[in-house]
Amino acid sequence: MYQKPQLKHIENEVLFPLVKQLLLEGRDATLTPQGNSMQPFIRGGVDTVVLRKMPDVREGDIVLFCLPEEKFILHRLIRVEGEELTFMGDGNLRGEEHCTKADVLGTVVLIRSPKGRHKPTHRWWRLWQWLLPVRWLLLKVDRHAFRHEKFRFYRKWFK
Amino acid sequence: MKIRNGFSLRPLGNEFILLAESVELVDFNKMLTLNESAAYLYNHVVGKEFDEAELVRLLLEEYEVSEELATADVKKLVESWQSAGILA
Repeated sequence: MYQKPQLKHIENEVLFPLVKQLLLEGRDATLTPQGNSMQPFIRGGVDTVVLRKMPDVREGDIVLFCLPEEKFILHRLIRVEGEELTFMGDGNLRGEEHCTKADVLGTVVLIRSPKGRHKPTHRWWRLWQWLLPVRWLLLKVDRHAFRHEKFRFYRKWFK
Repeated sequence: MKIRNGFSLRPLGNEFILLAESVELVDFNKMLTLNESAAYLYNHVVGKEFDEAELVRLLLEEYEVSEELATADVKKLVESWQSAGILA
């Protein structure tokens, strides 16, 4: 019955319906996304994001949306064509997701590193998108620099 | 003791979480989760004055556990509720 305070991993299909409900009530939700698909802008399992239901979305927003079969994804909105939205993860090399504005649950309004530093949500995204042909290399360098002691100055930027 | 006003218990998978209704920002990294038996106790004492003996009685009524175990668990539960600041 009793549980000590602890870090708990909650499955997406459990967590996000509640997140969705809270966002619809007009409240903000803070959580720690998992996975590498938004690297280097969001470090999975490390950075926390604040989500809010905004009246509208625009290109460059990092958006939480829902695909059929309750699949919840947090990716960068790269194209808006009327009601049609196209997404791509900053840490992905290929693969786009498509949905409509009705499938949007919320927008990232803040990215916070573990040290409490606020990271930019929109800055550099166009440049990052433009650098897609060499993204594989940038991601590789980023991963390497983030892991190795020799480059701890790099890690410091993200704390 | 009494549970403070302004909380609501919401289902999260096979557990429950306690949300402060007045807070604009819900932080999923700082959240009190209650399992089924803790939620059972919460629902039976919310809005009322209660003590540990009352919680033990409720537990024994619903679950087949020894009184010692129930008492020990209730003690820990009350501690966790206290440190989470939901008790007045």
